[in-house]
Amino acid sequence: MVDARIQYARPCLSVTQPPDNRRGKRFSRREFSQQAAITAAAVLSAAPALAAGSDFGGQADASFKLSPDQGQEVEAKLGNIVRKYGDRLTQEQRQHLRRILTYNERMLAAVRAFPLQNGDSPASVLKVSRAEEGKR
Amino acid sequence: MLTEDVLFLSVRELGERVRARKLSPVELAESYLYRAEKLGPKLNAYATLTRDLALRQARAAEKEIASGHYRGPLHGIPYAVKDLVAVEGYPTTWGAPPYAKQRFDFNATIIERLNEAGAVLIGKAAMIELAGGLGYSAGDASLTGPARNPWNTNYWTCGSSSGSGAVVAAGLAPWALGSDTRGSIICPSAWCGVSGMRPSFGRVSRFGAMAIAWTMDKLGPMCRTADDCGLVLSVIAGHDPKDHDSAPAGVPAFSYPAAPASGKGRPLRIGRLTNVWQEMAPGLEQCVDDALKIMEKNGAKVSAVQIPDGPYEECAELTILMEAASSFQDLIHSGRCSELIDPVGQINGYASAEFSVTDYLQVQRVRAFLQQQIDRLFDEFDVLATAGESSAASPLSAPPEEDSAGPIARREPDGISSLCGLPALSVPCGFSKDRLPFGVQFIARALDDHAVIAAAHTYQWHTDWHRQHPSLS
Repeated sequence: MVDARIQYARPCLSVTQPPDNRRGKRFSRREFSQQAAITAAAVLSAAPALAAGSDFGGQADASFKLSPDQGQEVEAKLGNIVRKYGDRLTQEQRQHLRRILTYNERMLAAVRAFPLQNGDSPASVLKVSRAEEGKR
Repeated sequence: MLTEDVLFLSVRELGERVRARKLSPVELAESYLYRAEKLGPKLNAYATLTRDLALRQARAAEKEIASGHYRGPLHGIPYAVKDLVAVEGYPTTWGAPPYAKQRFDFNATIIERLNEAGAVLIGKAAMIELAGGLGYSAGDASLTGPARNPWNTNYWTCGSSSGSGAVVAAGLAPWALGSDTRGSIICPSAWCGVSGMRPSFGRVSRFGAMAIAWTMDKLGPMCRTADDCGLVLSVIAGHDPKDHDSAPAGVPAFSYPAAPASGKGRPLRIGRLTNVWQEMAPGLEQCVDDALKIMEKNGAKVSAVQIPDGPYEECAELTILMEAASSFQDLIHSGRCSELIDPVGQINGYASAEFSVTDYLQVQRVRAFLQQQIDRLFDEFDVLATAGESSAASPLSAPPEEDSAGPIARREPDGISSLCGLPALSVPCGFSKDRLPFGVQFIARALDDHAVIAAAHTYQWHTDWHRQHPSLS
């Protein structure tokens, strides 16, 4: 069932990055990737280069670098992995993990920038079941 | 031993001969086993052959059919199953060194259904380790070595149902079961020149099959024809309370006609996807065009359509990474992921375990919106059509893929359709200049599995690409 509210004119209530770009900005979900491209461009101009390659505007690739916050998140996650599992990891593997975490951060940025409202439910939700039905 | 003329027949054709007692299930099983033992190792196609079980099942089928008890179109028909499905008493390695000695003391639901249908299990098909669940970068990421494409053994089959693709293309079984979390049936089907179907999410029980991502994993058939996919699906589909995500009992059951359709059903409305691949191999676009012209000539209405913008690929990949970190958390936390073959698989789980629960929920909330957005396309179209994969098979000598640096291909059709749980079916539609198969795929609305079968069957009714097979000796 399609929620009638969820059409293409939903105002943006939460764009995660950067704050300056979302303030007072209202855009529809259809405009989402256009807005994300603007966001990415703003990040690009403000941030030191941490990684290259993204496509916030659909299929076309625009050079994209992580913002300082995103870069810190990558380093924090890497630090956490090294803290827990450092004795298992070579320097080469740590560098590889940094690239993986950077790529994951690029994907997360696109999803976090997607406008959602409070009541938007996740695709995977609890299905009620009865004990005799699920018995194995 | 039976000749290739018989061994490359479709399931329907074999079934008709078995039913009429013109073909012995025992002779059929022995012929496929002989061929699998002879050619399988050259292709790294099988992980395990189940010779004793196959002959036991074949003898039972022969006896039953002789006594007048015919169970249906798979009775006495051999098949292979991807080595992530539990078969009682036999190794189920998940294609990965840490599970090389793993065995289960029960059958997966899908095996029970095939047993009830009288099917004959020839063996466990090789696969990419963990079906790529912790990532991989090359075709040799398998306990059994790289699966080799029967059309040219220097080329890969694609993954992760790599052995299933090789088995069917090489005539080592008439059909094989594959699994598809994000393209693992569709890509090997396209590259190996077979007809492979990813059913709607929830159609086929996954109880007893290895999990990667619970909200995306599907099991489905890889056959010679779309019609065969329908026959097999009619046996393996159905509600199973043992699979939490099984389509509810209230969803109409999938049924398929016992008699072959003429390929002249109601006119199909086909949406030709025009913005889904970043690039396509030379000649492939023309093959897809030619395929759709044939569809138009036979009554279909074809028009161009674009996938609306959205982070489909990101949601699909993130869902898999996040859920796999949970599925394989024992492997990650114990450090046994270091025993995996692929350097990506050895460490990727550590990165995936760092995702937050709020990010997971954000992905799933966006996913729900994307599902609705894609579903609306099917108000105008019965099926969407595009290439099965953007190229023909890649050489096994190709350098490993490095995901981290390239652009995110946001609208790859497998990401979109897998994310949304849509059925898809890829069938052969031509060859590259190197004589490697191309595929065209049809995608339909969730639970409209009949639509993709109807489209692909119509195409195959008027073409013979699916009748071609590689020369092997």
